[in-house]
Amino acid sequence: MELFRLLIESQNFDRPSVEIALDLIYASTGYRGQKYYIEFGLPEFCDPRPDIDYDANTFVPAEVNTQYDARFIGRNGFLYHRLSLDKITISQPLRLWPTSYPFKPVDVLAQINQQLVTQMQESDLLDVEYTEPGDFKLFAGPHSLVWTGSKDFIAMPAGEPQYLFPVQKLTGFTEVPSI
Amino acid sequence: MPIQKPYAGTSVDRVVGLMNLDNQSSYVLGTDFNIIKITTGSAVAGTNTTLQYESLVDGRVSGVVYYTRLPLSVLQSRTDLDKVDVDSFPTSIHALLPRINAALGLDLATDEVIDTQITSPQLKYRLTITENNPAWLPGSYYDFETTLQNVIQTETGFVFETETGLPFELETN
Repeated sequence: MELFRLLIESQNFDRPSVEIALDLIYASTGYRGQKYYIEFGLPEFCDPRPDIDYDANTFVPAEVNTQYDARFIGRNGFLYHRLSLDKITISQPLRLWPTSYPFKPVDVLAQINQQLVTQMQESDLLDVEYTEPGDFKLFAGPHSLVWTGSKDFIAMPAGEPQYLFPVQKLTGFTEVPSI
Repeated sequence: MPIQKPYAGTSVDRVVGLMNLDNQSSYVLGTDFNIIKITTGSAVAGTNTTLQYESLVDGRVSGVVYYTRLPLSVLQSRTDLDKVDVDSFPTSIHALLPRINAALGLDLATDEVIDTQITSPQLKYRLTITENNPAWLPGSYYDFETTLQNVIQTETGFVFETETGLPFELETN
C-alpha cells in the first residue's frame, strides 16, 4: 500500500509502460524484475477481491530468462495491481481537440501524453470512437500493462489544440555574431 | 570597455523569455505554467531540444515547445571576453563562478555548471554545463582564460611570489 501511494504521489508516469509495470509488480509482490530479462504476455483482468484496494486485479503471463533468475522455470506470470487512469492528476481538465469527428484516442495520443505527462501507446487505451464534442471518458485498453479504469475528458470542437504556448517551434537560441 | 552580454540572464529566465517572446505572451513560470521536462532531441527539424510544460491557466492546455540550445563553446568566437582572476589555491569552479560570470558576460548559477576542484595554477580552466540546463547544451564546455595573481610562470612551471621574495615552486602543468 505504501509503495502504491509513493508511486501515485510521485506521478512518475512519463516512462515506458513496461517500466511502470515492473514497479507495480514490485509493489504488489515484492519481486524486483528487470525489463531486459522478462518478456510479458497480454495482461488479463483478474480481481477476486474487488472490495480490497491495491490487491491484485491483473494477471500477466511472463517469460523470465532463467539465465538471470532461475526461480522462474517454464510458464509463469505475475498477479499484480494495475492503476486506474483516474490516478493521473493534472491541474487542468483533460481537453482533446480532434482534427475531425469521429475520432479515436489514437488520433489524439500526442495531446493525451502531453497533458497527462505519460508515454501511453495505442494499446494502453480502448479503441472506441467519439462522434461529437462533449464530456466523455477515456478508457484503458484491456491489455494495457499499467492502466485500468477510465479518466474524464472534454472532447472539444474539431480544430487546433489551445496550447498555452501555441507557437511550438521557437526561434532561439541563436549564436550572436563574433563581437 | 565593459564586455557585451548577449547571453545574460539566468538560463530559466532566458528560456521563459524566449517562450513568451515567440508567443507574444507574458506567462509567469510557477504561476501560469511549470516546466516538466527538458530533453535533448526534437521532432522538429532545426531544433535540438524539447521542453514539456504544464499549463496552469484555465482553458489552455499543456504541451511542448521545440528550440535550440547552444553549446557553451560559442564563446570561442568572442574576442572581447575578460580573463578570470585566480588569486588563491585551492579553489573551485563554483567558488570562482561570480568572477567567471563577470568575465564571460554570463549569469550561470552553481547548479548549472560542474564543480571542479582547482588545486594548481593553469592558464585555462574548463567550465562545463550540467544536465537539464534549459539554455545551454548539457556537457558542452568552454575553456576560459585566467589571470593568475601572485604567481609567476617560469620555464619549469609556476612559482608563487612570496612576501619574503623567496619563490615557492608549484607543480608544472
